[in-house]
Amino acid sequence: MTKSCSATHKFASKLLNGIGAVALTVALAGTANAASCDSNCLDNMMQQVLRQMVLHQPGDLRFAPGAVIVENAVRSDDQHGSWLNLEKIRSGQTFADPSTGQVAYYGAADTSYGLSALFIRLKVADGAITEQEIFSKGGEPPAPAAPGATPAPKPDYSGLLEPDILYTAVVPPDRRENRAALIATVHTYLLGIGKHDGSIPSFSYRCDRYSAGSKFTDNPAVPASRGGGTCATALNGLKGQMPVNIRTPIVDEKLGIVVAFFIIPHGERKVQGSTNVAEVFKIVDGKIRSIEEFGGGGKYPPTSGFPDES
Amino acid sequence: MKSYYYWQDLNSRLECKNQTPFLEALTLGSVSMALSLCHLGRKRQTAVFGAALALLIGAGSAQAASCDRNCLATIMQNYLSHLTAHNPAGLPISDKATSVENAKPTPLGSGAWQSVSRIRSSQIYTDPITGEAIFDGAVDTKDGLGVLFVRLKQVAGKITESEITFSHQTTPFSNPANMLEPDILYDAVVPPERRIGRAQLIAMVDNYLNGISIHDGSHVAFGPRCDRYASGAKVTNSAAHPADKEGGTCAGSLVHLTGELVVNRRIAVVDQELGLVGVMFIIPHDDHTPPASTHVSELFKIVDGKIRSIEEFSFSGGWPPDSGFQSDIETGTPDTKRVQNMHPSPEFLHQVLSGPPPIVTFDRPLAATTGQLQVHSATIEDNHGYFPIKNTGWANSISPAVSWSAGPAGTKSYLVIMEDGTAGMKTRAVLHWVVFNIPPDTTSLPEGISQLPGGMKMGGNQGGDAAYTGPHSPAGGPIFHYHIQVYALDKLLDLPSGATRDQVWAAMTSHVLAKGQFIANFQGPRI
Repeated sequence: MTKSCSATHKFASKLLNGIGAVALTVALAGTANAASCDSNCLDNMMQQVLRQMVLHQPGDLRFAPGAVIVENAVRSDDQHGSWLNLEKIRSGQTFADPSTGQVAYYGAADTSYGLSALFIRLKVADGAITEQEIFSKGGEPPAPAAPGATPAPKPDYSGLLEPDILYTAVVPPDRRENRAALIATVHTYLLGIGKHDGSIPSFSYRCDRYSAGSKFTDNPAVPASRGGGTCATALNGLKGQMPVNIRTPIVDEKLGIVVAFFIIPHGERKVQGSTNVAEVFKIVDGKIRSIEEFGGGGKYPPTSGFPDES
Repeated sequence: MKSYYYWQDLNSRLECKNQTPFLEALTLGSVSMALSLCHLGRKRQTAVFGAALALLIGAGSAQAASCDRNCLATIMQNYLSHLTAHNPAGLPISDKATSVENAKPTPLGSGAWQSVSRIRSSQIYTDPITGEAIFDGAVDTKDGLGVLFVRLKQVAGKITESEITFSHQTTPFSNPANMLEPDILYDAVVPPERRIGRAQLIAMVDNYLNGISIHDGSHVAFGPRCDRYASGAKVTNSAAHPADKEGGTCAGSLVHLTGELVVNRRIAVVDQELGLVGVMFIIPHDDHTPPASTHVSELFKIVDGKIRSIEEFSFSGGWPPDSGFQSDIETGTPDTKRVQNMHPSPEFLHQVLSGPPPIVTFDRPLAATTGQLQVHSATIEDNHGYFPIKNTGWANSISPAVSWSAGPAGTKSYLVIMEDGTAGMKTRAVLHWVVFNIPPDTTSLPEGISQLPGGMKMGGNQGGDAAYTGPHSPAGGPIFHYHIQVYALDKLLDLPSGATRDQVWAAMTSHVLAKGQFIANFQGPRI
């Protein structure tokens, strides 16, 4: 415990030094220092973050003064959680959007507690990170079982070890949507979540949804009665209210990709809470072809640490 | 977007590009991908098709003796243009061309040629090695929306084979409307570190066909996201197809199949970059009354050595099973009758696919040592890890070239032993070859060795002969694995030619200084 706190303190000091630095030599292949950061630049920034996370120190990374740092919807003045426990990046995909200066990573990493699932979003401006949002699962010690109860098995994130190359497929020009239409398609999905009505969104006949790498729809292990079924029917049994804090920071028209963040409030629960969600959508022909979902329990009233953009 | 897999060297991925723009794809010659971007049912059909055709004609010549992907795609596009115009006149057709529709001889200009009026969606994949191209898509027909699958083979720019699967029915195993939106998954480039070789791709598909044959998908490598679609209708993981109706997972869906050993296997197209294999085959149904057959064309997407997705196009055929085309038989296989008479039984396939592996010499205590030798076989490595047919019992059965790194100080001789380590075979691995008393200054054996210089001797093989006997695994069977093992010994073995393996084991025990092995594969001729 003491060792861990000490490590945290040392790390925080290094990070604060990093944030305070005005001029640092960032040896990136792209142009992370440029005011405009293209896709390669954003990818390289994400890769450097992942590399430094495994080293548990920010290194040459530049964080802008006042950078917003959030993990699992908890804001912090210094790096914590995944920055301290990642041991090795095992797999992943990145999605970048130069028009917003944002990049997301989704994949699996080794931690001292086993394989974890990781979703990271960065916002970059003038070569410095202004926002860092992380969702992580599996990198924490297992929750103690109730007296007499069997400890819950650790969730299986191995489905993230082989990222689906579907997301790398270029959408033919005549099957693409523009940025506004892609975002609108995602909003219809969120409306379907809020209204618990899967007939609202437009799904491809091949649509499937994967939650932290595990197949959720069209999976006999997750029947419709437990929220499974098709992409459409899986929404019909949902609980919770209309999604809030909707953000769509990354859009790629060529690949038909939208990375979205939102929160489903659960005011209906006895102990009110929320579900914070990050999702990657693949959209072809104006229909949702596939969804990668990463969700985690949150507080009530809902908060992500970032403003609603919808 | 970038994709990373098992990050071991982050820097090495910095330059990774997983997507290729349309024009860039043309430049790179990945025309199968580029053309499949043409969703011809939309308003840009004409423009895209025209632009692609113009570029293709410029990039590759359909008249060339060697037809590359561009050339093959052009031939297919040209064929489809003539088909929708209901007029084969002007197509480059060989005088001896074979034209078949739903397994029946059908002259070009008949059948689908008279019905199909418009290509609504399109996927085209090609293979310069086979000289073949395949197309699948939704088409307008005089009876409504239909599904069309075409395979063409060309030689020197002329079509020698035309094979069509054509239907316009909507059934649990066919949904033409879904075919209007072909899955772009098939056009995704597989990252180099997630690809497998051509031979491995073919072997995976053969293994799938073996799974169909024995109604057991548990030995087939499926990706966790695998699904199978039949003419656009989702068959696996679909509420419309429960497990006992050929549904369930990709693996489970094979369990309730009927029919016998899959025959008439023909690999039409392999594309390593896209992880694609297009194959045609027939499932005989001798169990039906009257006997019948199911003719199938399938397109596989394979990533990480696992089947990610399958597109299937099938129709019911007659008896005996006959597609009008001969099955693929490895070059050099001399006798078709021999192939046809060596079908493995379902019981044999079960045994091979699920039984425990035999213990080869390498894994026996007598050979315990920490010293390691690096063993290679140029003959086999040049053939993607598979025995060339000339080294097998299906042809000349000449011994492969073998080489190895030098043994440690004190090495007095080398011993080479080749055994069949295929699972489910006999408890004792089948013995193919033993050479011992190889001088310490010799670290290789040439291909086809017969005279043994320098005191070298051959032990007895499985048949008791002091000779090499090549792999002779059954036609249509799974991949067999042969362990070519080399031992550095601290003595010469005082054994005669033709010594048994037991004698060799006894003589070498406690005298192994180092060892190494090379595992080579062989799959009997396709049936």
